[in-house]
Amino acid sequence: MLGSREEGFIDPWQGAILLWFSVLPTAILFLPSLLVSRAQQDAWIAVVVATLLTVPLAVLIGWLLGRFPGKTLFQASEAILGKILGKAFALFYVLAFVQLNAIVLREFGEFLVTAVMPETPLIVFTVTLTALTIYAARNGLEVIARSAQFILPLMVSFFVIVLVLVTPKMSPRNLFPLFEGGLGSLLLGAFIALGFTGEIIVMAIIGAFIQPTQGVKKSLVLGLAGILLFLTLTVIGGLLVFGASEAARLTFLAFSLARVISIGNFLERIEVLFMAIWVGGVFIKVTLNLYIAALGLATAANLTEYRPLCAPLAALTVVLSTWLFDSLTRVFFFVEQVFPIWALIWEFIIPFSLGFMALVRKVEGGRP
Amino acid sequence: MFIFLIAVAFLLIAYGEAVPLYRQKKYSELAVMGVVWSLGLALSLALVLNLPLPNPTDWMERLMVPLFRLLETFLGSL
Repeated sequence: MLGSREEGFIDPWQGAILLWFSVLPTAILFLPSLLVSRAQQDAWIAVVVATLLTVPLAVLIGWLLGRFPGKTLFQASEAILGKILGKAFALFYVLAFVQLNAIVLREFGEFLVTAVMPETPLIVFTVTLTALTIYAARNGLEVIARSAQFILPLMVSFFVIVLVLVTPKMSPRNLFPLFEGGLGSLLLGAFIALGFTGEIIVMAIIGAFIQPTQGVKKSLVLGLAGILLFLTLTVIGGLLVFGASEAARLTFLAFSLARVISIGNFLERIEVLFMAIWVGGVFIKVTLNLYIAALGLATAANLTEYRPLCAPLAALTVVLSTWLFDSLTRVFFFVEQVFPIWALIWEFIIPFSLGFMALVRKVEGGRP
Repeated sequence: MFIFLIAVAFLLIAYGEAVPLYRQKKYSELAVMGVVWSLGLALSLALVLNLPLPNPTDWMERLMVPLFRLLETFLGSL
């Protein structure tokens, strides 16, 4: 396709999987404890509310991709806003994705340092992961999608195994009474979760490479459904096993869930497996974000290739990930109190204004 | 020590990406890549040398935490 700087195509099912990987890896590990501390035993309802609030964004993305077939958000913005504003928009999104990537990298490093390898410097994890993601991102979207397809069965089966094995420790009483904390805390929890689920905005960029073009709708529906399913199951599982008050105190709820499994003194310490698979998930997420940032920068600067930009952008991300935050507490504070509002701005408000502009200025498609 | 590692990493990137671009005469790619590359290099050197840098996270926190608190009190009254 001319001007898109990407030759590969993905099918709708791969698009859905990439959507899961763009939200779930960090959301599963970091979101539950934040949610439970806000909404107590209603945290799973907060996840449902957040997903429902994300549906309009999914509709908008589907509509934009239908109006500008085969164009990424960056190219569509240039058609809608004109050359200069469109490029400024693309640059803004590149910065947003680089920052998001830096946060994800930091979360990844902090988790490994805190939970598994406390003696190793954080930078070791971030640099090794980034080196790998440069290689993957340079190979294009098809390769990212295929590696996601490879990791997915492992992730899902392990997820199911953990949930099945912890069932003996579950007690349904932990979910009641419903709506104890009131509607306010529930909505606040949903608002925090919205920052994570809103990351489906990546579909506005990778959706342009989905073939057939009509498959975007299928990817969006399947993607949202999967996100809802896995996130709700994690939160409900954590609540059922630990109860709201203890779950709120656990930093990594999903990891602790795998940790309590102990069957007959021989099936123990499965959490290491959880960690291995989670690292795979984060790898896909970071690769996807890096790919999108490089593609956006290449589009904004009218380059013929995005590939040379991957390595410098990744290096910048590593530096940012060590610089932006000074501790895990700061990361959690950021994710809880700053990121939801920041995400609301760039994941929801700006795309919706873009769609509104396209309607008002009656801009349409271009060649498919 | 750290400065040495940073220099090695950034030189590797420059060797791997910039030299082929220069040979293919793709100068605009080279320019954009150079900007991002030098931004990363400058930031990491400043970090290692402990230079006082304004941290964007501080700005974002100053801007958005009050908004979040406002929302918190509003939703708390529901």
